[in-house]
Amino acid sequence: MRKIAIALALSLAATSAFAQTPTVGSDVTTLAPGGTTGLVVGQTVVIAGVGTATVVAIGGTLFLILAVVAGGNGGSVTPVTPVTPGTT
Amino acid sequence: MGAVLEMKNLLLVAALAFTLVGCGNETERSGLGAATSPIKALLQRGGTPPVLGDPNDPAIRAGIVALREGFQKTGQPLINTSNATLKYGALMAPFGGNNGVATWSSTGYQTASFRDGVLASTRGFGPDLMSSIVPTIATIAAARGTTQRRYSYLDGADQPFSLDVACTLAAAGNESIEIFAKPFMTRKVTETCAGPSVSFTNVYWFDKGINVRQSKQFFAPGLDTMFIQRVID
Repeated sequence: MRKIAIALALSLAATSAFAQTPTVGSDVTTLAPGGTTGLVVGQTVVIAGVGTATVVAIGGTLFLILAVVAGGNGGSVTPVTPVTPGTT
Repeated sequence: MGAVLEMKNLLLVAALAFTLVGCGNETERSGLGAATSPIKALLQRGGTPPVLGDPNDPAIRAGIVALREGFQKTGQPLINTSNATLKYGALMAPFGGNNGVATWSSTGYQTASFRDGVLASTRGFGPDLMSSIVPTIATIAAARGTTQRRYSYLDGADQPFSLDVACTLAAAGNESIEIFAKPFMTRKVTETCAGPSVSFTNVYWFDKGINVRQSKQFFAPGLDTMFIQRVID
């Protein structure tokens, strides 16, 4: 089974889409602006048609990281499901 | 226009809230074989479940590595900035330059201007550093001696005022740091400053010569230092 990981990055503190920031994998900017307000580290967010992303702090900035295991039927996207309740 | 934006925001919040309803403790989804999940595999080996959102979580870690690869592929210069007091964090890209000062901007148009990696001014943060007199990066990198700084601001009545501080530089040894999953071996330098009404410590991590890879720099009284990481050169 081939595993690949892709990441979706979104600078959550930003109040508008960051046109200059490359978005990896897919466009998730539809979550912003406003829609991401109040997210905390460890929280999961379902991105329609893409998967489940986890809010992660990298260097103090919040990002949505989508870790994906692909395989089986045509590389369908399946989120890695968290096993621990969200904590901050 | 405002009403439209407000409605758009409401819809986005509603959509997010709706999607979060689906975020339970479900441990498996259809189409995901048990052996394909790194977390599942870890549990089967008897390992400690990773903390949700922990950058050391293997799955999250893989995502961060892929994120850096994506950044590097595009080649867009980026810095990551954050401030604990303001609960602020954002990537910034080059916005402009003037007379040796480079200005970087977030998507929200908060900007930070640097002279060779030394924070010289900010905009969009509220209590902004309007201008400053700062030592050269070569002076700081020397990691010895003293410096003088002057920070200028506007008060609530838009009247300018300045803070003068005297600083002492010191070497703080070598340190291995990691920025978006990429390790750097750095030389750490501290700049301890004090004045009549404020005291703080700037910290610099040089990865080669006078190149600042990461820093914590004072910019406004009452706020934590700005944490700055050079993600993509």
